[in-house]
Amino acid sequence: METTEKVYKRYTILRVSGRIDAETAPSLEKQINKVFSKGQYHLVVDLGGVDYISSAGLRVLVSALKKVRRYNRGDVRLAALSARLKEAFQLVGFNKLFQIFGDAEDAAGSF
Amino acid sequence: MNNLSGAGAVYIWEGKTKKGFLGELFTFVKGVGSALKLDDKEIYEVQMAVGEAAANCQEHSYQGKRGKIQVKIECDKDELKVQLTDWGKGLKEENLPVPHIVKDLRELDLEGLGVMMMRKAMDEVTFSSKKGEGENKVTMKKKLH
Repeated sequence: METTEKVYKRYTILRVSGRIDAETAPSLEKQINKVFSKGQYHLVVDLGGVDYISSAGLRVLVSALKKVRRYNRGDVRLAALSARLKEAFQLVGFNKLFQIFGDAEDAAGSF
Repeated sequence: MNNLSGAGAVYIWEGKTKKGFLGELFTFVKGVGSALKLDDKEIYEVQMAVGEAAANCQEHSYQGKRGKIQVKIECDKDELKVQLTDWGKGLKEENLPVPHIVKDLRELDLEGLGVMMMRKAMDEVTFSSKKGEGENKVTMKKKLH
């Protein structure tokens, strides 16, 4: 799994690629927490390059969502999910928790 | 991996719960799925079920340590049978937490999410342990379309 962070004034886009599983999820969590530690709580996670997400990866994203919404500080919005990833979110009902966009630019524009 | 294909084929992967083993397992499942001509959705679901079961095995049965794991995939006409075996502490089905998925984030409890995903991806999931032999099995079945 690889991540690339692009910081803008009002939001940050985190592009993720590869497989998010039990081995790589902690690294994603670290990256997200790094964004939050800078006081940026408007986060777009671009999952366009992700071919698989496990329960560990889903937990990291939900945990991030809980953190930002706790004090209405911002939001975590997802973008560019493949058909398989969309199904994974639907399987556990997490598609109802997140705002999901076709691409990162649309997600960023929604802030 | 045994290079058999179609009904009656048996594919076996053996390895240890070490760094990178989940990636190896994914490649194995993808290879089996392609050989059996499963569609992308079926391959993804089997990868998901095997990945969750293997991660549970590493975390709970071997408690993060290295341990032997065997994955056996059998195809019988319209059904796929996947069996994971480990020789660690095992995972008792009655102790498995049931995740509580709700729309309200504050009430969301993610314990047991992996097992829930296994059950959603496959048609049948059973856990069994042989006392004395220290052998634990997760058997999952999936109807193929």
